[in-house]
Amino acid sequence: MALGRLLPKVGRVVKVVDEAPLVRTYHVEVEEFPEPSPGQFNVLYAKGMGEVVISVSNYVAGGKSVMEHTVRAIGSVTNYIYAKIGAGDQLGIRGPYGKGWPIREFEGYDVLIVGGGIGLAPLRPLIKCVSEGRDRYGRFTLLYGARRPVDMLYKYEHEEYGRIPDSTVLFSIDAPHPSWRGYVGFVTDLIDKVKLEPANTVAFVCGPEVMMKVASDKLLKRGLKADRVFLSLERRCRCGVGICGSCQLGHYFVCKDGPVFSYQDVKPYLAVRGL
Amino acid sequence: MPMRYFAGDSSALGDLISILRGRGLAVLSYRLWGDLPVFGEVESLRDLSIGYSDVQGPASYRLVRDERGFFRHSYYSPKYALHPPIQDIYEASNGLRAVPARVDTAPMALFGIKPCDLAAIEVLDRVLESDDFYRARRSAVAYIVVEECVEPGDTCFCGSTGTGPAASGGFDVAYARLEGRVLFRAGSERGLRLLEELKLGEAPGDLVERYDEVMEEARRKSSRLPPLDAVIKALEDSAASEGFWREVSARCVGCANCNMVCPTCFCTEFIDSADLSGRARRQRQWFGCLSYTYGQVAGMHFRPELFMRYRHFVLHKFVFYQRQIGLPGCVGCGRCITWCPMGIDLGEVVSRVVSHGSG
Repeated sequence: MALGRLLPKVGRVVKVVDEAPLVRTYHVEVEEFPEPSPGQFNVLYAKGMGEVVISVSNYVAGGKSVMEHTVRAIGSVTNYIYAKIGAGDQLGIRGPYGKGWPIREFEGYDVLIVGGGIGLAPLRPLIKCVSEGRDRYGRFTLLYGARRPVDMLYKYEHEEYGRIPDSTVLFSIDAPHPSWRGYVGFVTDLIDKVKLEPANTVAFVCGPEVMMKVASDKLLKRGLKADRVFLSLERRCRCGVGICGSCQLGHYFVCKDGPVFSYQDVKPYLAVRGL
Repeated sequence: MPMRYFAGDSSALGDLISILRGRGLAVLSYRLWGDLPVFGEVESLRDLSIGYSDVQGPASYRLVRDERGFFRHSYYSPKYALHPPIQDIYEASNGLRAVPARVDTAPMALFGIKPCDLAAIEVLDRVLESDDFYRARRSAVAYIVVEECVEPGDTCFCGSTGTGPAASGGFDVAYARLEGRVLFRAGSERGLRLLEELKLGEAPGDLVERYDEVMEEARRKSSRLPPLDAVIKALEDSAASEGFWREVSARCVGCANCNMVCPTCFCTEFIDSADLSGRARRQRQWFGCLSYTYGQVAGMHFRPELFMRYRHFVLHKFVFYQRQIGLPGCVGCGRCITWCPMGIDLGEVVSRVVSHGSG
């Protein structure tokens, strides 16, 4: 009987990028690893400390593939990784798991991405997907907000995002800052400011849950259907494969049935506080 | 083909244990360990908890010596054998090279388990379908022998959940102890062959009639809930009624006893440990949704209040399992009532939501 499903492969950190205060992106190289689709996640293992579920924010194919994981130091494992793991060190890794963004099903559609804070991480492969297959999608809109300018992820790529043809890219921060010339307010405010063709638009949203709910409701008001709005949810995820039960939301196992859900599928559950 | 019934006395149960042991199987049953009712290996009829009766009530369990008594169950269920409370997953001593733990797959027979616990195995089979550790243990089960519940306990409601008091499928042999006689029937070809080995006679008609009467009475006694459809509907409608859930969980202390004794609760939490030699071990351990940390992540909590976790327990059993695996997750064994230190009665809670609503 194969008991290897929960066993990590040995990954090697080849690069670490400082993104924001307490946030770093770990480039992990690993042999014979299945290609993750945009929105899927891996489980990283720090020996003796434990595992943590992290979405794949970029994938570079090769004999040894490299996957990027943006990690915020907030719990025991992530704080350990932040403090102790650098280029050349090993991390256990298993995955990719979960259902990602259904981007291939929406070829020909206008794509709208709404990200908040560290929620940009699972959305980043979508940006790459649209930018590399530009003729397969219609208008591209990216709305990204963070608390402060310094909290924004992938600042080194923002200019590239703006150069994607036929696109609108808007950034926001929550409170005024001397260095900031963009919008100040919630990222969800930006939804009111962009042109949308609701019948031909698919939206992908990730950020704090309250922000995702506000964004989804606004998009519904703008005329999008709830089955064309997709969210990537967070829960207490442990095993990643739907057997430990800790990530349940209603009848869903967030790790296996998600983390990406259509708003239509999770709206009744998200509407009940603490369900 | 009409159901064939065979009759014997309790020595036939001892013979059945011997036959199973003769096939190299560890025979596991509810048994007494000293005076503790546990679930473990039995070697002969003497090891079964025959001659004892369990008197169960909300927050109350007493084991009494009673020659004519009927033993139902204790907090141990077959879950202990199939999905153990703590299990090694892997060990890494050489860098990060992890070596999977071994799972004991010595063949076993589950003996004399109650129909509620049989139904719970079907729930676990479905919900842990892709769990290699569970499947390894489960496929080591060569035979399932069920003891039908001729006398449900005061906290039981298997008649309402449709999971008892008789066994309906997924077993090899079922038997019922009726006033000194034992009535056997087979649930599978393999079970029929076992019964043939026992060389029992066909059961006389009056014994079969008595069996039908006793089971009907047991079904009536264990059907104290409103119809299951009504329970499910009322619970679905109750989800957003915070006041109702606060009230019915007001006495809950979040100890998670209900999760631990529930034969279908399957959640686990991982435990990591390391020693100075550089060896790291990963295990998993039962984890209950009533525990504070269930739903907690670094930096926030998805079910910070106790009523939310209690609500999840109840809705999961009756509503969400149904959507996940097409079966209710509650098998009516009543353990969560008996072993709740506060005596919160799940049967009462769901009856109330049907009769009074949750508003």
